[in-house]
Amino acid sequence: MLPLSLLRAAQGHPMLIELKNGETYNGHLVNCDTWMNVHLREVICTSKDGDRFWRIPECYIRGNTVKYMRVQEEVMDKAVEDQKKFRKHGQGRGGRGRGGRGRGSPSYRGRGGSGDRGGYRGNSNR
Amino acid sequence: MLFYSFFKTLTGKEVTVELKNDLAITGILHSVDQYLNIKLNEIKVVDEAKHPHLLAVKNCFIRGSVVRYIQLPQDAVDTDLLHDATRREARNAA
Amino acid sequence: MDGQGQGQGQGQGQDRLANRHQARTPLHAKALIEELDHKQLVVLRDGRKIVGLFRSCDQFANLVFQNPYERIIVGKQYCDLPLGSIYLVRGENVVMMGRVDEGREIPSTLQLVSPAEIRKAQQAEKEEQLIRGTMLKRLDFLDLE
Repeated sequence: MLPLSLLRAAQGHPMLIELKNGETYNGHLVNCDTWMNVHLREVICTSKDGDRFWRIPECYIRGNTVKYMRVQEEVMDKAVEDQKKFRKHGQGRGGRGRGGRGRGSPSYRGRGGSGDRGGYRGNSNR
Repeated sequence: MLFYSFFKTLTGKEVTVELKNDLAITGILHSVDQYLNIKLNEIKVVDEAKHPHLLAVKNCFIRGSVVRYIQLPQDAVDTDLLHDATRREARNAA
Repeated sequence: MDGQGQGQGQGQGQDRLANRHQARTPLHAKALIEELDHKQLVVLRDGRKIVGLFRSCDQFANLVFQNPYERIIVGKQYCDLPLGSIYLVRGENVVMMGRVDEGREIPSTLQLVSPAEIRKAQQAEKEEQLIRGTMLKRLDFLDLE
């Protein structure tokens, strides 16, 4: 189960995101994508020193500003379940689902090799 | 790919990796990948007292993007070969 | 190769997370795959040291940890602050990661203290470094040969 699959499984669940600048955002994950961009609802934003708070109905965070994310234990169980379900379906159709492109995760098999497409450009450090 | 191939020839040698956060680690080069991520075995932190967390760690993975320098044993490097390879890469890239 | 892995998984009824990863992950992430399901210490760019059960990774070195804690060491005191159940670290914030040797985890010289105490010690250390920094700057200004 890949990290981005875990993030996808967290949709609808509360989570905490700390950005590189030290701010923390606590809210429910509405949506996410392969670059770790996230859309949160009912957000409490805390400043770096923990002294100021904002309540924001919804916000969009660009993936490359994220330091780390915290989710609940049940999200991991859900992610593993989702993967089992997906694989079962994929096998039924002759394994088409396996490449994973339909689910939005970067594909790194076959199609022209090194698999540095999609999310790779999101990592400005490289 | 040149340095990836170059580092692959150095696996098993003792190297010192200096990171951008000024941490320096000595260890045996176990493996390297195309991003120049490094895996070191039997690590020894250069300034151990400053980094007590790492006393319990014997092997580590270092992300290529955080490396500042990699110190290599001189006899492990064939500079002529490296020069040739560099010129070849430059020719192919041009 | 993938088909083989899947067939085995079905036969056994319970795949090992690491095996599944191995079958589907490109070579440049294999370095991290070997460390899956082990207790790891990861150093982040902001200086934090997180210890936890390493559960997942990808080619960007995005990492997933289970039941991690932050290990803070100041001088001879240490404290482990729990960080919740699941932690996802973005790869570019990772400096290095190493497997924690269970036996040698805490050097005998270190003393366990409460979170409040370690925070105080951290503050004291920060202030000391600030003072040292300003003093050095002042000496610099004097341009002593």
